[in-house]
Amino acid sequence: MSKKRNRQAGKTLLFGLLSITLYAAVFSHGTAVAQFFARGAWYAILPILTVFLFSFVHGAFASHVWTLLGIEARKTAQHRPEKRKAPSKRKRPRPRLQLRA
Amino acid sequence: MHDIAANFIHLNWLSVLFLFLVGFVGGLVSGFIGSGGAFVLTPGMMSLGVPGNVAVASNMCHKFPKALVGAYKRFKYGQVDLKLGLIMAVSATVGVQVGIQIQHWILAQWGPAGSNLYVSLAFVVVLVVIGGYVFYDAWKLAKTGASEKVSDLAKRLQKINLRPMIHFKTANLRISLWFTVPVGFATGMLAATIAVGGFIGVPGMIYVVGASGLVSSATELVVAFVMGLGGTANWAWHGMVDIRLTLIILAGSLFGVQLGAIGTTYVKDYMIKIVMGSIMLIVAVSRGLAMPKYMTQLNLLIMKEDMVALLTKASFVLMCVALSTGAVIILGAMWKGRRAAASPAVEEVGTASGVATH
Repeated sequence: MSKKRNRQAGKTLLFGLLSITLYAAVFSHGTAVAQFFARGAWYAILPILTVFLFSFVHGAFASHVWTLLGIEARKTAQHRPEKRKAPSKRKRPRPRLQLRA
Repeated sequence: MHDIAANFIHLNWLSVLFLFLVGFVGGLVSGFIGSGGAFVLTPGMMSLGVPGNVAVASNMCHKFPKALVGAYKRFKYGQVDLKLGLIMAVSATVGVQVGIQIQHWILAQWGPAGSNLYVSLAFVVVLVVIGGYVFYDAWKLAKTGASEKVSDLAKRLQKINLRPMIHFKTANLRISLWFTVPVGFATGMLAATIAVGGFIGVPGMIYVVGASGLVSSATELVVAFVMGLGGTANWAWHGMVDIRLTLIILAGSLFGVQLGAIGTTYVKDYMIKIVMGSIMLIVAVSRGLAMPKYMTQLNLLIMKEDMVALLTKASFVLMCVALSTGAVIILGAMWKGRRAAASPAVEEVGTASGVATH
């Protein structure tokens, strides 16, 4: 296994563990959490913040899983703004005096 | 509020697996065409015993983080026009409010059956007309092998110099704000009616504004995020979100949405139209099958109860077929694209060409 793949596997494992921890935290007391989050009014912030957190952690995990499986976006197909061509360096020889005798 | 929470359903492994899988397939379709999945998830949850409003709220709560991840992914691929997305989202928010008012009026006039009939009718008419055109356009492109072109309507509108004119950099077009806002408004109205605004938003951006299929479907994810966040705040304020359902669907859909986004970099630009058109037409038939139920309730049609129940079941099955068909086409096209990309003598297709033609 190459170094790059090892690093990828490490990231996948890390985010996978984090994701499992978050899911376990909610579902170990699933019904109670659901009822607490559904109190309405200002408690509305709880489900919104939770899905933001999960989308970051679990989204990163899912992204690393696809990368680890070799499923990545086609790089040549991605739209990149065209790079402007830099002017090529030209050799401008210094005029030298030549003595014709 | 507490009564609603007390009635949250008991979850078993089978229902968890069902929600995860539908979430994954719905996410895959959303990542690819910018919308979809919601029309199966809401009735799917209701079939598990979830009350209608909780199903809608929990579905919406998973929709905006999914759209956020999808939009981020496709932004990285250079497909999202943020300015277009934000203008669409603001006008769609107004459209949602108008759509809700129309729904309230219909509910007050004809009751729940009348409201359901209106929703089904809107589904069938919009999906047959727009879905049929999208599919026809995609079929023409697939047959001739031509690259996607800006529609005649969009070309004409872009020539009208009605201030303020706006330049959309990624979509690579310049059009008046007054032609962009109605597309967003209609998206919002449809979202308030059938919960899938993208079925009008994406074709609107393609045929009215003049963006490519690729940019339109990616930009729709921005619209879905803004609208989903606003909708969720509203539902959550009333305590309707069952966070367990949301998180299970999100677990599947975050895998799906990223796979769908990756898929867009492998396929030819008309594939987005093919997937969208196919799904819209199958869903139209599905909603057509659901109509006799509401017509019977309104005494507009006489039909045996067994028959009505059978048609209702067939309608739900057809919804699942629509989503599965979309997923199969996406995965098939992606598989082909990956194989073609792996071969050295491949012709350059994909995102760059899709954006460059517009």
